[in-house]
Amino acid sequence: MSQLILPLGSNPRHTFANFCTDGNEGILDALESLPRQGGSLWLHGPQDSGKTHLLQAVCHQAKAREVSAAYLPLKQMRELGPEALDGLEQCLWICLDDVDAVLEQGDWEQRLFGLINQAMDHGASLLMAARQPAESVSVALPDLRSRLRGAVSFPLHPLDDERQSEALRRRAHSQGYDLPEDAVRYMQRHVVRGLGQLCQLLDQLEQASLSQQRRITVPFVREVLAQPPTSESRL
Amino acid sequence: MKFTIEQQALVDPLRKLASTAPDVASLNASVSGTDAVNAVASILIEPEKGGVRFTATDNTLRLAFHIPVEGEDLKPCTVPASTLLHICSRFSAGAEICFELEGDGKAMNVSHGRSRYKLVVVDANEFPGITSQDDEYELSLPENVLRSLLSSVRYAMAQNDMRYYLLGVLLDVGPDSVTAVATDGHRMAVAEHAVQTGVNESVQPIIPSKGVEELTKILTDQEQDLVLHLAGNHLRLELSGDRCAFHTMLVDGKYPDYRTVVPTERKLRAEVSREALIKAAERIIPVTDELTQAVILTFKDGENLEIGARNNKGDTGEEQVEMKINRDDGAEEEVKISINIKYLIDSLQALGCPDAVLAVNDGSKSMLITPSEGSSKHIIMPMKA
Repeated sequence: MSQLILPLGSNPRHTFANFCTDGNEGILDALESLPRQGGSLWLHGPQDSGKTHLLQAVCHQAKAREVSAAYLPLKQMRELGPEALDGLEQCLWICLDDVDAVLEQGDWEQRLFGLINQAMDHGASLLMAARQPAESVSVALPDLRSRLRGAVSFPLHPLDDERQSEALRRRAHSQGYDLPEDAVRYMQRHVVRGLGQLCQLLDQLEQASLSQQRRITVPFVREVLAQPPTSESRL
Repeated sequence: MKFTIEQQALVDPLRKLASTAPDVASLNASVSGTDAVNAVASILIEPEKGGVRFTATDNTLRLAFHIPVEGEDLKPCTVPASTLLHICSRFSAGAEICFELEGDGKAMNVSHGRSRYKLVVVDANEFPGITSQDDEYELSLPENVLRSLLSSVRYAMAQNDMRYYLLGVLLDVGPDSVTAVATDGHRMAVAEHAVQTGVNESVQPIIPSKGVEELTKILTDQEQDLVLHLAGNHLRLELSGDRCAFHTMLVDGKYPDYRTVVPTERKLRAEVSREALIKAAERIIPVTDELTQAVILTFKDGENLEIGARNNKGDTGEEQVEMKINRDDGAEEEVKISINIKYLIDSLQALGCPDAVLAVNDGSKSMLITPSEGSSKHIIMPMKA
């Protein structure tokens, strides 16, 4: 028997306050000045370097300031077809994640090119994220290629262990609790595949902590890691 | 300085003050014995118009009582809270207890009849204060309303959760209503009262659990308006008639959006006698599983509400309570739901009316418990195998 928990919702996990800028100094300034330049920014870096986090933080902040914004994970949206981008030109912040997933994919490039032009006419800010720099991705449409390469390029680097633990503690803090140092170290020793997986584990620990009404400690983390992962319980 | 107080007039406030002041033993041992620590575990006695003021604090909470006395040459001093309560509560009712500060100000003589105590006084300047910013909001509420809101929901406060914002009661104050909310993530209690509060924009202070406990002790059923002063993370209020002043730090944090959790519709609603269900639920506790305390409630048209349980030794129990089912749909399928029996009892006890309505959809959705009269809502999440 396990106790289901109330769907209380949670505070946004991807905010600027949660973002660890160490090693990626300058990114917040670049984002802040983007609307004034009315331009586009190309974020690139390997997995777990914080691309998705930044894109969502931009949307979150824009919405808090009552500015229209949209976040689109293109890898997940690829199957919906390029029509999924319709209507986006109305937004003042357009955040496209995993742009490389739709390049060289039929009508997607044409639609993407159209969206970038509309956004520029409209004075919207365009944020794009991919694993590779714009110069290294292959684009079939020459006009789109030059648009992408015209974007301000910003490389992101994954965090080292110490900064990862800082990022985890910030994430916990945004959910209203303090994560003990030794629990973070235990998590880092037992999860090998980077920050994304650590964050997933932390979310799982939060749910388990609510369900069992126990705090996140080293023995608790050990227990949760020993269990097979369960699907999240919702109302 | 010298004054006398009648035993009962002293002991009632003293009990509340002593539970506010932290026990010296609970404070950090490495700093015990210092004046600062002794001061926290003390009661501050200060002269004020028409009597003296007794104050206790634990650094986040401050409680003060006005006690009318006639005395001479009154000046501020402190006395140890638990010692004073221990002695004075053992004098008989009606006893006139005499307080006299020694000439050098280093000890307080407390005496009655043939009992004489000399209690060491800590410098009143060591007594900690809580500094509050200027008032930002003022709101008014009848005293009995605040009392009833807090006592309807406080059972659902989290006890030991790492999410500090759950360790208290949210007061969601709008211009024409106040809603009190408490949740520990498994169940939630929401009580609302329509009242002109005097605020223009809504405010959401979270009163920490100790503050809630102390408030429910001092609030009475009087209908006069209380003025609540909210400033930053401070809340203070004074009970009318100069009886008592209460000041607490608020929990710093954002409370989750409770509205999305309150179910708007439940297919099946069963009306039961609250008292009969509490009795049945209490009887069955020993045969529930020690860890989960799970029971299975079965709702079936035309039959009694069935409560079944089985503990880890294999003992089983079944209780039946009369119920009247209302359904929106014509379906007659039975609904089974597993819940923690303690949660059911807590909710029912908080209702305070003859009948309760249990509303369910199925075994995976929350159960909503409401009073037959009144507007509080009590939500319990089920358990799953």
